[in-house]
Amino acid sequence: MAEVTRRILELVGLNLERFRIDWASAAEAPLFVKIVTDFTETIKKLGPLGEAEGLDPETLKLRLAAARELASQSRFRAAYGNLARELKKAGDYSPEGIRARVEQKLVPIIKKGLLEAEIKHLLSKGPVSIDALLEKTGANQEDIVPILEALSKKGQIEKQGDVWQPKAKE
Amino acid sequence: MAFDPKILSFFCHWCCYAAADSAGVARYQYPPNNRVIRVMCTGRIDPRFIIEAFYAGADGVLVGG
Repeated sequence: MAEVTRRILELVGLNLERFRIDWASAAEAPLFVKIVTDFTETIKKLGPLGEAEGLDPETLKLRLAAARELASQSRFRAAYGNLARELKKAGDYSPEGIRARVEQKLVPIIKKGLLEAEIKHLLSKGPVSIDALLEKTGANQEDIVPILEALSKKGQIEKQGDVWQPKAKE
Repeated sequence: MAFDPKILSFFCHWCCYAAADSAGVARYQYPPNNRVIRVMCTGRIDPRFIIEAFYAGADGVLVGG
């Protein structure tokens, strides 16, 4: 869970220190206080969300909206569930083992899902040229074109001259 | 004015939440920036929750088991 979340936050462009997972038992009040104080100090040093990462509010919002969509996409959920099952079967719970499997199985799906959600968001506001898409998502042409083609095959978008736009419902 | 971060915390009912309780009883001082959500177990937490927290404007997310 933590590793998958970290990979998503990394791709969104957030500082990974903003997310921490830690343990303190019911009897460890002083440890708990230390964890909370430490974490608050870290966030205070980092500053407000987005500003510290050099993301402007518009991009940050777009990326987080895309991440939010990704997290409920059935393709991602299925891969996430399968990965959990695979980890259980392999019985390898070392951080390195988990990282390697997440990298191999989930990161490509996360990348593609994020980009697809970003494109859908941008297109939902009206026609967009491919250059504007490239600029706003910061992705490569080779990554974007197959997604656009897949979406237009599904009949969700269409190309008109230089711009892509959502397909009008008949 | 100094930056006052918003931190969302997910605490396990049996561990960190109880630790927070006993920290209160023992009158330990700690920063007031946390908004706590109690879950019955840390295993309940999904990447979706954390992304939603950042989307809603949290500056940091702490998961305590």
